[in-house]
Amino acid sequence: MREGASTFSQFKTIFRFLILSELANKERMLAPVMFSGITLILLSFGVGDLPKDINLDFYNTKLFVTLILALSLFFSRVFDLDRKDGIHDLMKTYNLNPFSWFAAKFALVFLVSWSTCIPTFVFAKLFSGISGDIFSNFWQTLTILSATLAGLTAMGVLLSAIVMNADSRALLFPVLFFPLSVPVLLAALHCNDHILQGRWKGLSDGWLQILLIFDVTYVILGAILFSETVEA
Amino acid sequence: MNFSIWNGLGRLLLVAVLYLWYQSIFVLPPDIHQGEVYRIIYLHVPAAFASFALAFGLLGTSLYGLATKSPGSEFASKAVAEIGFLFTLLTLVTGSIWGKPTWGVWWTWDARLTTTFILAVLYAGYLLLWSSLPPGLGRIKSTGILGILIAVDVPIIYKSVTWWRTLHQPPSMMREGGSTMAPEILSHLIVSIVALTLVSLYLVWRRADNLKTEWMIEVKTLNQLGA
Repeated sequence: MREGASTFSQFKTIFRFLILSELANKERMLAPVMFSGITLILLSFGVGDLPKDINLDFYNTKLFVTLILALSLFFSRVFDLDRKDGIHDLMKTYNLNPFSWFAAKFALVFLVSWSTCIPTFVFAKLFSGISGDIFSNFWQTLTILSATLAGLTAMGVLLSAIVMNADSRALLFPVLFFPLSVPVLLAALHCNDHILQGRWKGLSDGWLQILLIFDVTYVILGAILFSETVEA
Repeated sequence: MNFSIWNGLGRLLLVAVLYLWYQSIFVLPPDIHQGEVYRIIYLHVPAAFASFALAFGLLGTSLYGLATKSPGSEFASKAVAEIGFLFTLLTLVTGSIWGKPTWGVWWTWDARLTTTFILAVLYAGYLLLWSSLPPGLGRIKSTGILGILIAVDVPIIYKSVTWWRTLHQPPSMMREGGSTMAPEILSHLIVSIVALTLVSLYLVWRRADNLKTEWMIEVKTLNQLGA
């Protein structure tokens, strides 16, 4: 990489590089999708038909819990490719701006997370037998899912970097990720519940604010603290 | 000389806490609504306060560690996390003992209980991360970042009873319009909180000192083996 390149050009180069290496390992994207499909089938089969009001609650819980489990599979291996190919060490030797590295990783993980999120959303809707168009409240749902993914991605990237050098990182990641994702998950559940009930305007009761506050907090903490993990 | 002064302070704190517990169990009057079972709040509330305060202590030692990269900060952080974990468990156990006669169950998935349980898991996760990383700058930085993330969780626990419909009663000490507690209960509770917080700080200091001594012995032994 050119010495003294701007933060944005560093971001573009790293992002392109990360996308190419992610596309060369498609199983990394497919594994969380397959996991969410199997989990949703098992949950739906195990619980069976439910009364309409309970079914809506169960659908909402099932959607977000499956999503968070599937995403944790992907987040826990965010730096695996970098470690395997020695890219992490190589990038440390360049005079890279850690912020552009974090931003590129965040953008990549955010985009790839959608490849898990969209099928999970479609499967959950299909397997739950929820009546109504899958695209009803499309923009509202898109807003909530984007906000949820942004918060989870920022925290996932940061945690993945923290546990990267730990002996038992496969065990440690979920132990740390699930408790820390609780505020985002709860806020997302409540926001989506409002949307399902057709009470989008009721979101002013605070859940959307909580979701956005945690998004901003995790993104800022990620951007500030990522440099420490890189230098470690 | 210093050593004996700190030992004396420890004994003083122990006597103070035993005296406060004696007062809590035998001297103070029972509660009008809850009867004798309410007395556990003199241990439960101070333990909860100390566990939250230690999460902010962890934030402090983590920030200090990240800023100075001092090896001493990681011993302090580990000591804070260990004692924080201990006090969070104490909070959960005493809450559970109080919950059985009051709510009829040992445990329920109430917002405050769940978020406090999450704090215990986070402290445990912090200790696991600390143990699974090799000593050095990498560990100071990685655990330092996690310490900051854990502190972010504490305001959620505190606000959980007001954000969610919950079995746990809303804050009765620090609330708009003043406390709902009887003055003698409130004053004794405040003294208990101060005392147990001091005990937790004392334990942190002693544990950090032990960890540092342990590390120095390890380094000395390795140097002797190398020589």
